Amino acid sequence: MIQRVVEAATGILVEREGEVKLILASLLARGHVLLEGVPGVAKTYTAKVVASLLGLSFKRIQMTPDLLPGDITGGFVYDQRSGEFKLRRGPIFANILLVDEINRASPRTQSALLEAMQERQVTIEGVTIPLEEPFMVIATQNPVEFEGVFPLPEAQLDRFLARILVDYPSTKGFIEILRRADEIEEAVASVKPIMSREEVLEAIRGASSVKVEDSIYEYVARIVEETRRHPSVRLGGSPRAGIAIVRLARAWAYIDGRSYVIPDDVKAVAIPALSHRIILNPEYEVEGLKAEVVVKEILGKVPVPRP
Amino acid sequence: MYVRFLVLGLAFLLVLSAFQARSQSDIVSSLEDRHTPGFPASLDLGSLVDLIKATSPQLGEALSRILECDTLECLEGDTVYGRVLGELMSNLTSIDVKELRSMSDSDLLELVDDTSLRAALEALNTTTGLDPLALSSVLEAIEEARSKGSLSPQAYIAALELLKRILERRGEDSGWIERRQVEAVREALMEASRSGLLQEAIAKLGNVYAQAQAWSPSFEGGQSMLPKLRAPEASISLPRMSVDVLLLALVALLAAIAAFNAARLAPFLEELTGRRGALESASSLPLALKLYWGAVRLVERATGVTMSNSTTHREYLGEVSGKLGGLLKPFRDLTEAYELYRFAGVRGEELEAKARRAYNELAGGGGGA
Repeated sequence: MIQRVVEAATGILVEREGEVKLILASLLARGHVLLEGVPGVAKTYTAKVVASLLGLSFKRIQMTPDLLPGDITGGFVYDQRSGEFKLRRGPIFANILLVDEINRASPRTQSALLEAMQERQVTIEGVTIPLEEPFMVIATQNPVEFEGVFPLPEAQLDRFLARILVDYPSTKGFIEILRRADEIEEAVASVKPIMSREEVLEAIRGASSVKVEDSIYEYVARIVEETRRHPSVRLGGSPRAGIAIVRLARAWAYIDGRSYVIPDDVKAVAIPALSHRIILNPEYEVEGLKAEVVVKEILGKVPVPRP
Repeated sequence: MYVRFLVLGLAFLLVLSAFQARSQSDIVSSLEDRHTPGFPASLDLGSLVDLIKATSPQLGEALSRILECDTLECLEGDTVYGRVLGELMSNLTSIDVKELRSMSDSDLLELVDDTSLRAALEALNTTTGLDPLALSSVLEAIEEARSKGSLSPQAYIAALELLKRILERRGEDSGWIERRQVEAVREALMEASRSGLLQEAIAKLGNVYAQAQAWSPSFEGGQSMLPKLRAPEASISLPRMSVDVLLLALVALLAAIAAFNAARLAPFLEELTGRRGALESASSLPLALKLYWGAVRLVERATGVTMSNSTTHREYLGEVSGKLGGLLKPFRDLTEAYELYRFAGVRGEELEAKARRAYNELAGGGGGA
């Protein structure tokens, strides 16, 4: 079933199969996703299409510096007719929440959102309300803007299970987009759900039961440990990073129709799971080195399970 | 892992061989070459002695005894070591302690090249009593002249020797002056080690040992106190750095670099050591795995595409799929069987039969590559 979602999404979006699979894998692994890319590379479209195909409740928040935590979580408002305070739920009460340009919100609002992401519940004036499962935040951010933005601190970036870099399409893909631009727009607006909420929950359970052989755990551990030894890395992957890789690899295998994880799954998810969790030494950063390049280098060095 | 140990062991042996073959003068010169700005130009004598001990125990022992000496008598000595030490010191520091001690007062004064100091010493020597103030001022003058560089180490020790005699003649304690003399010898040794004089001294010392063995009637007895006197093995007469030794050292260096980069070079090293071959022939491997690795070897030969350590089975299949032609199907089947056995935990005769069929097809040539 989940493969059909991938097929349907890639039928609408051009050259976005990897991104769609990673978003779905994050959903199945009960994580959140940060989509990073320059403006105009279909970050919002991708999130919207995936959410629509899954038949889950979907809400969108456009972050601005003056947005308050209450604007996301909601609050109690006085109902004059009943003479009582009633809970007005904010947009966070959705299965999939698209947070556009998360780095435009103030740190206070970001913190409130990220706390809800972690706890999977919100507390409004002392009342704790659990968020409905599945719950996933798909946040987008534009890495090239430096004015009027509040970059997410490393600790908060860690709350995202995966960071997906959305790059420009190839020339061939670009031409196809140009040719089909109107058609894509219409398709995005009229997407029909393929899966129900119950089916998504069943898929989440299925992904968590995917078998992981011992040597795969060792492989993941070696990759994460290698990030700590790499000369260009100031802060390497934590145990949480390793857990993220395993969860994503399980979900990736599930999406691929397998009930077991293979090293290829680990390789497929290692960059999105690790690159936002490692901090490079400033001298390498200045030279333009990217964390994903480091992870890629590590993947090319760490031996895969043998024999 | 064991490949790394093997290479490290090899590198260690080669480095050891290279060191054995190198003359000690080379050691000293290489130390100088390795001088790092901001650090002392040479090792301290203690470290140097340790280094020399590693290649020539007897030379190291001779030097360490000099460092341990508290008295001139100890420095001078009268055994085989005494001769060795004397030779070493006269080579390193131009100070012959034995000769200094046997010199007359006037000869000692002659060695003091600072005229005012010489006059002060002469005056002190000719005075019958001992004026502490005069003694103190002469001592200060000696130290000042030394710190200014107007007194050579030898002249400094000579001046102190004269001062010591003056004190002894007056029944005063002179041990503290002797300690200054010993300290001066040590400092001179340090200076010599910095300036490279040690190199020459060690070269000469080889002959001294040889002579000492012939000369000393008590040598046999003295041997027990000498740690394995093997003068010829000190290799001092060997050429400074023959091409062979240079080559050996180069190989050792390359091996050491390779060992430290073993992870990066692992695939290459494994090819060399035939680890993969060993893997296939390992009878402990289950059939599905054994057949897969055998197939990988066949595919590597057929396509020329080697499977690196960080390449997964699926990646490898992708890499060779365009080059296998009719052999692609059996290799794909084997890869699938391998994956199921290795990661999905699938067992059974059916899987093994599938792997065997695929392997036979692959080994038999399949549809033709």
